[in-house]
Amino acid sequence: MTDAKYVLEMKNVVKIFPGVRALDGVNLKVSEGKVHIICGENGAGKSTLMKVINGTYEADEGQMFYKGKEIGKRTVEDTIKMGIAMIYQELNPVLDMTIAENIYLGREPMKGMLVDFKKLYEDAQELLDSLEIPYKAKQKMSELSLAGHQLVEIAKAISMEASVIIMDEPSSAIADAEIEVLFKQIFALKEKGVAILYITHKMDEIFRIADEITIIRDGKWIESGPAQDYDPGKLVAKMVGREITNVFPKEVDIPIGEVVMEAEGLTQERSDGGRFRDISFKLHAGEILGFAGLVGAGRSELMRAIFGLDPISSGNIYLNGKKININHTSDAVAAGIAMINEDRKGYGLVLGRDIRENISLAQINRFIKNGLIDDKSIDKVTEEMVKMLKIKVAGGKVKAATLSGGNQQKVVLAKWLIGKVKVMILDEPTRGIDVGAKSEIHKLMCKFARQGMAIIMISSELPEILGMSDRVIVMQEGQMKGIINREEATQEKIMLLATGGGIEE
Amino acid sequence: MINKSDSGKFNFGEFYTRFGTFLLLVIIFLAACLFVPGFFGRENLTNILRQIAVVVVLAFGVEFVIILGHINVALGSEIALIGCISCMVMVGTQATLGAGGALVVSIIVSLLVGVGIGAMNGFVITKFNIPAFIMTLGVTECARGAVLLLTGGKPVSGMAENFKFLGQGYIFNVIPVSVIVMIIVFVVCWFLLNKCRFGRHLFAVGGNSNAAEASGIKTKNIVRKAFIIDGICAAIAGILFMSRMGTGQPSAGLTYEFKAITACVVGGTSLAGGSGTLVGTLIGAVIVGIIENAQNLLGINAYWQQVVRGLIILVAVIIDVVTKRAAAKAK
Repeated sequence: MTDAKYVLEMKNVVKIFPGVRALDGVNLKVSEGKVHIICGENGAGKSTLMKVINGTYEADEGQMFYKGKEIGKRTVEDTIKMGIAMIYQELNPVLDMTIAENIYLGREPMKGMLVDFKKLYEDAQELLDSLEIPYKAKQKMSELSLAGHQLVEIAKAISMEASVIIMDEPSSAIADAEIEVLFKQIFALKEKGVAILYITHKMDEIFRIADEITIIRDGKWIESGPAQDYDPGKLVAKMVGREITNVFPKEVDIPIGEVVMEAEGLTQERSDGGRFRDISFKLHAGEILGFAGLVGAGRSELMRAIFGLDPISSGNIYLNGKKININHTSDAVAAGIAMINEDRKGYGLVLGRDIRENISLAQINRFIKNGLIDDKSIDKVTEEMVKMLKIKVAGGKVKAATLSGGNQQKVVLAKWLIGKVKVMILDEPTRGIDVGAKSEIHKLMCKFARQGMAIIMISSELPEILGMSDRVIVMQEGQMKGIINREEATQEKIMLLATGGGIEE
Repeated sequence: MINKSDSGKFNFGEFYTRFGTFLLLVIIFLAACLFVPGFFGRENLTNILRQIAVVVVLAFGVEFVIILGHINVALGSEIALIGCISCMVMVGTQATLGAGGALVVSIIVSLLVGVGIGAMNGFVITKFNIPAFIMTLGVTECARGAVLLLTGGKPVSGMAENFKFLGQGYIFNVIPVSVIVMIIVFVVCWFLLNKCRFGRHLFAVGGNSNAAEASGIKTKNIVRKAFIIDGICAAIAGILFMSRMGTGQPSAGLTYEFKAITACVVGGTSLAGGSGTLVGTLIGAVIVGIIENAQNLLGINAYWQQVVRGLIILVAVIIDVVTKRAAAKAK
């Protein structure tokens, strides 16, 4: 039995992926005409939850009720027909078609065998007008901004008579001014009795539109309650409130040396809006500098630019006090900067080639004798690296594609370690790697720091950031929000900065 | 996970990728010896080598481009253009420089034109990020038009006798000069691919361009260099071709790009890029050469031969895809 006053209700929902309980007993009660916000860190399970609701995934345990009736296995199409629509983070409109055609795509009004265009445009215009969306039904989708696409998507959901609309971080892709348009629409939908399930990390948004809040953490339901019961501090505490055990200990006795690298006012301006602005920091020998922030805060983009993969519009980089110009990755490599990319398969390895070719790739000049490659010395160095990093592999001639994630990551490390690296940038170095290999990589990081290497680590796992970093830089929406020393760093402080909440003194 | 190919379990896909082409060569060779009268004999076998020399040199060049995942479909027109230029330079300079000097000059000019065409291909493809197929499709027409303009559509003749040396000559009356040229090109290309930094970078860019870029490799430069090598090989092939014919034929070279690409693919080079060997390509060219020669000896209609040629490349690509899938499944 369930309470019919909720339009959507979930009880004890569990979703298991191989090796991980992505959702572990989630409860949710969504009321008509309310904005219900789902809060949680990166990887807390928000998106999985939405996908269970919209039918992409099937829950392994638990019950789900829609308008008082239990619903079980169903497809995404079934779910839409029932009245639950989802607006994805990344929309896929047909840009060359009109607004009306997009709204009624696949369910155009027909007159015999032909599409009834007159009715199509009349219906669409009526719909837009009723929602006070200021577009003409005959406008092409391509004329609209991203926020416009979202509004059309909302109109589409309404036209399907949705009573629950799920919005997955709708504000992440649109500019501030457009967010107002979106919010106006959300308030109008509430008036109509539509329930909105809204995922976001942004504190200011949460407290402007939320009626109810549900917090999940590590796949577990933490609590739900009316929005007025929360403030940013409390919300963050609940989002991150796990016990910190020192799973990732940096050896704190490692001496911190001179400044190795200094960034000064790094800014990227692009036609689609740059991804970071005015970033300045100093990095010391033996130091691990953590970069924390939400996914999309611009951390990876910043590091890619420092390494020469993307352009920097203004600002300076100094290495050992000397200004360096990095126009291409080859400049960075020559200067002694190494980067381990978050996308290991995309940017780290040539999967179809063997280990020794991968390891020698970035430092091939070291192995050239009289203009020719000295394969014997490559084999020797490969063997040394396999031993030192404990890479589990039958031999140097094994293709990189056949290794496990942890071992692949070690090959990427080896690629840089055979050269002289002053600054090592690690972007999510342990993502998708099993616990054992994870701790090995952390130990290696300490070892490198002890040898005097300066390390930058981006991580979206707060325990990893807190455990490994000497200092933590927090970024939000392309800007530096603060630098916190190891002793003062807490999950709450970092999350508050990362969500734009600001530290209360 | 340890590589399973060392576990001793037999996997046809992997076996084929390693030894398939060679095995195929042996089978086809034996079959031709047994069933085709006049196939086995020094004269005919030397003849096959001479016939394939042009294709092999072209294939070695385009191999570099294919390893990058690019392609060059203009090779046929390129050899016509460069070959005819070599003839015209020869005719134009032999009076003043003498036959020997003119030959040297004509070779140098041809190589420079080859470098120029290759550099242009590579530059346009990397600068504007357009598919190599489209670029070289355009060049196919441009180069053919250019050679017809230069020659007025008429064969170039009147070269001194020594012009035929490269394509028709023999050393010690046994070894064709064209085969020697082929071997030299092979050795140079083999060192470039397997022993030089450029080769490593080439395979890396072809296998994963992003990872290569993130390892500090200037990927665009690698692409440009590969097309220049391709252009040089086209120039050598062009001279060999016209020298064998004895005249500069502006309409020559049709379907040669096709033969060269077939040799690479039959030899196990993947059109997706990232893998391929020169030895494989050589074997591929020999296989195609034997099949063509056998058909000639058997008196098979030329139109049928064309059909067979088309089928060979299709079958080779299908085998490549299927064996790769089988090899991937075993992992």
